Amino acid sequence: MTKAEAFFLWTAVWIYGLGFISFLFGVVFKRDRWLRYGWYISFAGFIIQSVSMGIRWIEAGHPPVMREYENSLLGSWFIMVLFIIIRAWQKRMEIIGVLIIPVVLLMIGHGTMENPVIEPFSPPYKSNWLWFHVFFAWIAYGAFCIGAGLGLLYLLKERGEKKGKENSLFARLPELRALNDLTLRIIIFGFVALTTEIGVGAIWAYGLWGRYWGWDPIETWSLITWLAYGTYIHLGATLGWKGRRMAWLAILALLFVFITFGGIGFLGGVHTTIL
Amino acid sequence: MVRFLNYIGSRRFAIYLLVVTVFIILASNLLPRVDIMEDEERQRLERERPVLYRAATYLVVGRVVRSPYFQVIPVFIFLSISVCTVRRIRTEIGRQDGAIPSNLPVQHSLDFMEDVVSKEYLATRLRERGWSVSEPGAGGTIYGRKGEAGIWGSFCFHAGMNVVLLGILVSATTAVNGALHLTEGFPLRTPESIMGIRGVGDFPFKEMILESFVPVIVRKEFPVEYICRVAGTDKRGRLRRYKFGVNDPLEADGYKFIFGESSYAPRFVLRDKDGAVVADTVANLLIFKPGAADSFEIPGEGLRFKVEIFPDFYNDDGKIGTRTLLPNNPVLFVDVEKGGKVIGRGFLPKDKAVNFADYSLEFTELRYWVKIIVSKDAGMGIIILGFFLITAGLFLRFILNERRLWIIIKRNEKGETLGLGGSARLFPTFFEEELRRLAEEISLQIQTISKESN
Repeated sequence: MTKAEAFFLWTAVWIYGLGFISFLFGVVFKRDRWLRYGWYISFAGFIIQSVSMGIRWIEAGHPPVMREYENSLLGSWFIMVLFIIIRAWQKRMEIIGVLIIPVVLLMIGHGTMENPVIEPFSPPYKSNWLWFHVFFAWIAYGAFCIGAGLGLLYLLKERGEKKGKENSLFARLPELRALNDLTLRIIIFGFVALTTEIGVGAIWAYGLWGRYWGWDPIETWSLITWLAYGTYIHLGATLGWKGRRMAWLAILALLFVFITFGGIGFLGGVHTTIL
Repeated sequence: MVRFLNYIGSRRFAIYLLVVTVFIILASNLLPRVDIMEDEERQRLERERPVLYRAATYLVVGRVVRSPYFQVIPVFIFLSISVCTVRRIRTEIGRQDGAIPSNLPVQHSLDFMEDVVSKEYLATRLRERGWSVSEPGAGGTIYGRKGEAGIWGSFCFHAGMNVVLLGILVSATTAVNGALHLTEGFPLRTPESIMGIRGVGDFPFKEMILESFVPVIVRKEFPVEYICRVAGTDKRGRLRRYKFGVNDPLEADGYKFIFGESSYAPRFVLRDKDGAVVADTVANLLIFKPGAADSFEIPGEGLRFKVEIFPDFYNDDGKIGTRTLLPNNPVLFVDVEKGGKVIGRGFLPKDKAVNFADYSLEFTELRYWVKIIVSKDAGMGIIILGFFLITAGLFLRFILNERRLWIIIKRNEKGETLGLGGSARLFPTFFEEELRRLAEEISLQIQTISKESN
């Protein structure tokens, strides 16, 4: 890691931390203004993180996709991109930052515990499929994170309404039915991206290893994740499940995403060898 | 039979299948992956936790999914998808458009003091907003549809799933996959020398030879490219030359030749005390890892060699290692055992003979060996097709949500009432918002027209 990259990265981490405190203040003390501050601060953190990643890209000569450190950086960046898009689409969604920013910080923290040495692209990475595979993977995982966040918001809002407590913050959120639909929509979006990622990965694997599927741990966990979210979509879209149980499912299904992401590097198999 | 098909094609059954599949693969994958463990780790697990080791051996995911008990599941998935999709297509094609569902609520009601709007006007306004509107017929109803291709996205996705399942079946029954270990300069007869391969049909080469292997290393330790040059003698005896590397496989007659891995292949000449050559052999060492040793035997002599290679050897005041991965100064550290006893140990530089016991050993040459994965899979094309159908179908499904809209015009002595109602297959709250905005826009436009005409 170069000094410039480290400077910008740690600055981004501090700014994200401030952003999270602002979000938390806004939620706990029910101050709308502090949510807005949290949003602006986190956005600034995102810009600075982007600068850090840009520096790394220039130094390494390739996008930051190798090894756990770069994967963590890229993943957290993609989650922020999706958060920005969701917030631009629905301003009331900025409250979700209180859940998203800790996830971003955890991912960056996980990455900084790994070796940040800059390496040139190893031969397996030199493929056009890399771009599609990594891009769609992070879009999918980011969408599932947002979906889980929305599920949590649903539960909190529902709890507040049941207790009859007036909470101006949760009152700003869409009604429960709309939150439900929004969660399903985002998860379907993530599912499309995950399907593309798995398919592209299989095509790439065939050219790289001579087989499109080998039950490698990462491949298997990706499939489990795909099946879990496929079940979620079927339950919501065809059986008409709604409400609290769908919110819980959206949160629990994220566990598979964490295992798949976190497994890169220690679950073993060809993915780890290549990485 | 009908009841069976109804149940197989039901959504509930589809969800049961998904849940069972997730559960089985998850449970299997939570066990230690003995199939990909290092030997030492596997042996430790077997020693310290024999029950877990046995369970992991028999229930490892690669084995479970090949078991006939599991393979029933994809058969049921295929049937379920087929029955459900065909039924849904028939329902969709046979659906009568335009008929207002009896329980459809009028979600918005717009009242006007006079007759200001015609059906044709409303139909035009809806078309401007992307609605597909049937020509207004007799009666006071206008019917519009939007995003109707979305349901076909679902059909496309599910058809793609079945295509993938068929592709997997074709792969499972016809694919060939094996490994060929080539050492530089040594030809091998093919396909006989390909390990693990069965059912090879018309193989493109009678013989193959690795002419050269060049690893491109930067900053002394990072490989950035591997260049293999091979030559193959085809069935007509012609020599064909190829160059390939990682992510750039060689393709010939439907077979893919993929670079797998490589390492060093030192050549040893072992002589007895009289100087007669006992063995002149090239040993394909394991993948190079600092500190890792490989071993091999010289049959007939009962000798066992344990070899550690230092491709770019250095010795700085007793501190030894390798500066780079390139063979700039190759030295071997050799342990020689006979009958379980070490009879020789030491460093063996290139082109220097070393004596031990009744032998002399010389390291004369350093070559490379390469593992080439040989693969042919007719199912891959089918799977790629299925994947595209799945992705296209999902994309359509996500982008397009079928919505239906009715505008009912009722005229009375006070004026006119427009009743707007509709339904969406997915995301009803989003559709309610869309309908609300549509009602507002129509109301505003009609009021503007009314003012202008007055």
